[in-house]
Amino acid sequence: MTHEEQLRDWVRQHLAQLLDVAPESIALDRTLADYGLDSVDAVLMAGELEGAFKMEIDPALFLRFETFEAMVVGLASAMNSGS
Amino acid sequence: MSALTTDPLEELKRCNRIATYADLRDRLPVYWSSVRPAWIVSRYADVNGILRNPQSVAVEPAKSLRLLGQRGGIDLSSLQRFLSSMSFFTHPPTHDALRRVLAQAVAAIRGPTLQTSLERYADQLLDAGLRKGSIDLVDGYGKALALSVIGGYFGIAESDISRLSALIWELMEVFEFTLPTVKNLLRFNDCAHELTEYFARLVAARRLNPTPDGISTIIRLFDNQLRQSDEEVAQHCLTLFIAAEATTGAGISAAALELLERPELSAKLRTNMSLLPSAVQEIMRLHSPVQCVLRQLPADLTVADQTIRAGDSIVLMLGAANRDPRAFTDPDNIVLGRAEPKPLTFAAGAYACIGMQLATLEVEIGVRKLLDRRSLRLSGEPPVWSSRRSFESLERVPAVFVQGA
Repeated sequence: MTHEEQLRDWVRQHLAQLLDVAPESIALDRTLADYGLDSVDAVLMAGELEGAFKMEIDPALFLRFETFEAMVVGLASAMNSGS
Repeated sequence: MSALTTDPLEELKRCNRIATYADLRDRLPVYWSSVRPAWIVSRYADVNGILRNPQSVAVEPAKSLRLLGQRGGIDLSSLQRFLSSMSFFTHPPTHDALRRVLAQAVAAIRGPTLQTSLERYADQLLDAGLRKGSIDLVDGYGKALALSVIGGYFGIAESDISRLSALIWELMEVFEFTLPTVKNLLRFNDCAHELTEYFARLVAARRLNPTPDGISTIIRLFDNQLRQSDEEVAQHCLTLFIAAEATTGAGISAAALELLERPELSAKLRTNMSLLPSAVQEIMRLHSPVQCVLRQLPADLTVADQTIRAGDSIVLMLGAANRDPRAFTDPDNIVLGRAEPKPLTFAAGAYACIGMQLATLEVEIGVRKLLDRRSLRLSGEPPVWSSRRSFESLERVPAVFVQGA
């Protein structure tokens, strides 16, 4: 799996768990706010993502990008250029 | 990258802050920063207006920490207790009651012997530098002076001072603009824990054996006027220590640097010391240690065509307001005897800094003693500014004593 696929998968699983819904029902063309999540959730998600991918992640990423998909693409390109 | 906004605050660095502040004031005087998330207000008139709005209150940072704890199951209880006890984050009527008692504590620090002991200590520090031929005007002067005042008042052992100071600096990163990471929050929590334990031990010891120093005075002030647990008294002592140390030290160091960079200003002050208060006010305006404060309002407010909703967090950019050309002519320069509005260095309104006079006195003494040393020069090695953005502070100002001056 590419970084992008791994990230997409992780975000989908994480949101599904957080919202207690099935992973297939998660639409990544949505924003944090669409799912009723806020900056507190962004800080926590960044923390877990850091642990999972062993890289430093700015929690503001979740607020800066329009959608989860855009964030995944942006983060994957950062990972690829970093490694 | 499809970023939602290009938020100028994300690009803010110490080195580009003057230009970034100007850009904010001109283009986005009041805007919603989604990455903060909060309103950012940067013009003098708007910042001053909200500070002095009788309905504006502080934003309690502990609230989001509590949510982090609840949702994420991470223990940030020490940090949360520390932040929620800080008097400047409380709301009326608690805020007014705490403020009244703490203002008396600050007045006690200023006591009759402060000036002479501070002058003596400034001379000792400069003499030590003279013997060595060089001095770092941050650790060896500005910071040392500020620490001696508050450390001396609290009777804190000299051997503990540098550890406390380092912990405080690390903890103050919690006030940065950006959202914190979980890792950093856990680090801040450890700092808050160690600091509060330290001050709790001090208070417990003074409770058993009262001494003439400041901790006993503060215990007595609270006992007589506003019942607080010993844990709360310890937190208030810590808050005073932090407020007195970091900000004042930064102010003295910045003033030292400005004067050494401007020999003509130093010469002018030497011949006319009555200009000193104005010079200090100007230097503090340009280098406000606290660059921003947070407020919220109980009702909607329209500012610069933007409607700030009740309860929204508002970041008031004191540093940007202090350089606003709409309020100050020639805003980026030191202009002695300015007859223009009061700088917002110490904020204003119900939450204005209670240590303003004390801090100003310390900076004035620090500057006056420095001006006596005509052989002191910047070493040529560039001064180092901290990369923090919510706090303006120097890390190093290498200076030397030249011979035959």
